[in-house]
Amino acid sequence: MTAYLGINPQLCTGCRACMLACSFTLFGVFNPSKSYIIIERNEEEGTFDIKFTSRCVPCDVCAKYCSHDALVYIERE
Amino acid sequence: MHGYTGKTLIIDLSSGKVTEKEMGTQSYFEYIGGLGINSKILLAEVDPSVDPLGEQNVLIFGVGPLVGTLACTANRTDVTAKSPLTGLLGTTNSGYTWGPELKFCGYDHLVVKGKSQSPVYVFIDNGEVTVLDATHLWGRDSWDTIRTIKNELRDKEISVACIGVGGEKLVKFAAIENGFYGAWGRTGLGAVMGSKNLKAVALRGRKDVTVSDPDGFLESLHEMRERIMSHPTYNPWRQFGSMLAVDIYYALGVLTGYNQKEPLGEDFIESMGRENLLKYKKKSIGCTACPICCAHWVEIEEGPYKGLKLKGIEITSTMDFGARCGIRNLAAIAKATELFQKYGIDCSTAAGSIALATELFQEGIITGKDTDGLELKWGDEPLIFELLRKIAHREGFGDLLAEGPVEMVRRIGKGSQEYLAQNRGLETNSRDPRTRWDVWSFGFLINARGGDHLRVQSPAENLRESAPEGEYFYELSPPEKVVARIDIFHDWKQEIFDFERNTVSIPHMAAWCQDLMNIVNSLGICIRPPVLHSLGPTIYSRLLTTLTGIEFSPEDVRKAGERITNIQRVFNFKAGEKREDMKYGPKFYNMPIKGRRLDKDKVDEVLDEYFRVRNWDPKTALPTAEKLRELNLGKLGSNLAS
Ligand code: SF4
Repeated sequence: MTAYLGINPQLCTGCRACMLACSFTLFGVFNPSKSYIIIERNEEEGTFDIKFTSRCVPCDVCAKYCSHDALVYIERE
Repeated sequence: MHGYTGKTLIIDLSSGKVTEKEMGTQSYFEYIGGLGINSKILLAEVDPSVDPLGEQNVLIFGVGPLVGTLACTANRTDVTAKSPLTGLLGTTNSGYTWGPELKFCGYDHLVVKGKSQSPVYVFIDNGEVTVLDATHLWGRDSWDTIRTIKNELRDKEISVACIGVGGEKLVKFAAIENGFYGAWGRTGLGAVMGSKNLKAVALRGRKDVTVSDPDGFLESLHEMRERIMSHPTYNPWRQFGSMLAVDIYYALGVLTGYNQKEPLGEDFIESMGRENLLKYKKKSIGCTACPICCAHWVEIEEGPYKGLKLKGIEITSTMDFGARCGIRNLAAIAKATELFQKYGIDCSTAAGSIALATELFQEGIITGKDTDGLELKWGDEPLIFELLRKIAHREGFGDLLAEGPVEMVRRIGKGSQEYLAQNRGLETNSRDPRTRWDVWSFGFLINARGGDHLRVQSPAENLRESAPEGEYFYELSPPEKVVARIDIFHDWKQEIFDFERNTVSIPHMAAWCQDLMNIVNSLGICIRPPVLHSLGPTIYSRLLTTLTGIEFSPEDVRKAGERITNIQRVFNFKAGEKREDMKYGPKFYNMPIKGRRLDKDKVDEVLDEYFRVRNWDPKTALPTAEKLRELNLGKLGSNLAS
């Protein structure tokens, strides 16, 4: 089975719940600077870039806390 | 320490000294954090009789224990100081990213004292504090200031709180801007920041927020999410945000306009109702850790404001410039938002001053001689934008408007006092106490920061029907099965609700709500209905205990809320607010709307009953010695007597 993270940056609201969830799952603390997913803000455009560090092995945690479907976890046989 | 950082940063701008102070567990237990601890610091540090714009006032930024975690909407910062607008305890709350960033810098609170000789800004880089020259930023609008700071610190992710020209010019209702599109707007704390020559506070943090019981916290967090995301208001709030309520209040027939002179007609709802938002909304924007994301990214694609894009269009600005000042074009609300954000002034009191001046002009009490030759008319967009500019720069007639409505009528005289639609120095969002009397409107009398609508809101509002005219002690209840789901303690529910008569006791419910909102503003979460209506002290106590390791029972949490209410009232009493000052603006007693006006004697009876519920002395509106002892505030009592 393969897992993918589907990303839709145009739906991202910039809430960064994914970054908090990621650091908490990996390290047991809340700290966006330790997150493997990074949301960069283009504040005056209302847009956000979704990036990942090379250490990210897609799991479903960030997608689980994304309330606007900018991140979707997809599993395929 | 978990959840909390345990540290308060103190910057004295007079001496340049930067110190840190540890906050003991007992303070957190008694005041939770955020607004609660801010209020405690203010009462301890500031003589309530000081000049709010003098060196002795302190400006306190505080985040609650939940801020920085994944707890839903845990991003709010409360800013507290003595208010230059009301003379009372000034407090104002805003979300987005600044609060979490303060936590990641290693602080729960930032206290700014004294006054710098020349303009400065503060950069807190992960706990390293630098005070930098801001001469080059003085005179710049807030957007320009934020861009410049991000450029010179070479990091666009830095969170910036700053003042615009309004704060520099000591406009009595200047705001502190929270990034490009948010603000600590109410009670004029931008002027306090300006009086200290402090242009901005920029933050970048990389420290951990740790958790005492990670599994337990996650479990409580999931319950919190589930409650919020299954609440009936959740989906509509995602689509319309605060604009949802415009249509609800209109349908109830409770909105008044033109400086609260008359009921609003169909032209208002047709042009300003929530569906109009969808013409401009491109997407949702959220504050940190929020599953609702109630804010709108809007782009104006045609007409005079073509090309404007920003995060904005909220019920507050729509009521301020739409209802109060007469604008009938939602795109113009976006334009007004750009202006009050850049100038750094509070939209509500700015609109309050403009609307009052317009009514006085139309009544012939002021003339073109007073207004720099401007002919003041309702809904005149370019004129209103020009007045905003004059206010921010204190130019000509704007210098008077910049004092706010209460001082305006004092200076103008000639009977202008009768037109005052402010309660204890603040305006509401146009849900008029004459058209509907309820917990919300009674709240204007008891709100610690002055008479607006944002600190006493009910989690059990019936927005379908209103109590009959002339009823002052009760509002109508929502159905019993709805109330059953709301976390109000059993003994309180028995005092508040009477399901045989379908009523809510206003004085009892107001006391519950006021304490509840103090708790919410101390935890650092949002007061939007999907949160306020779905959560209560029980889930808060679990979140607090699992996060911090400090054992909180639901009653401990409620009591902390009550304690905060009590010390806020003590501050206001010492600042000079007497029992007889707790009243509405003259307009609400004297000028009828739909044939209705407030009956002062009846209002006072409800107020007396509220004091009885609180165990406060009805003559002074002060807590009794017994109440203070019960709240472990006995020491305050001896102070009051002296
Ligand atoms: S509900 Fe709106 S204002 Fe409140 S935290 Fe969420 S996005 Fe911010």
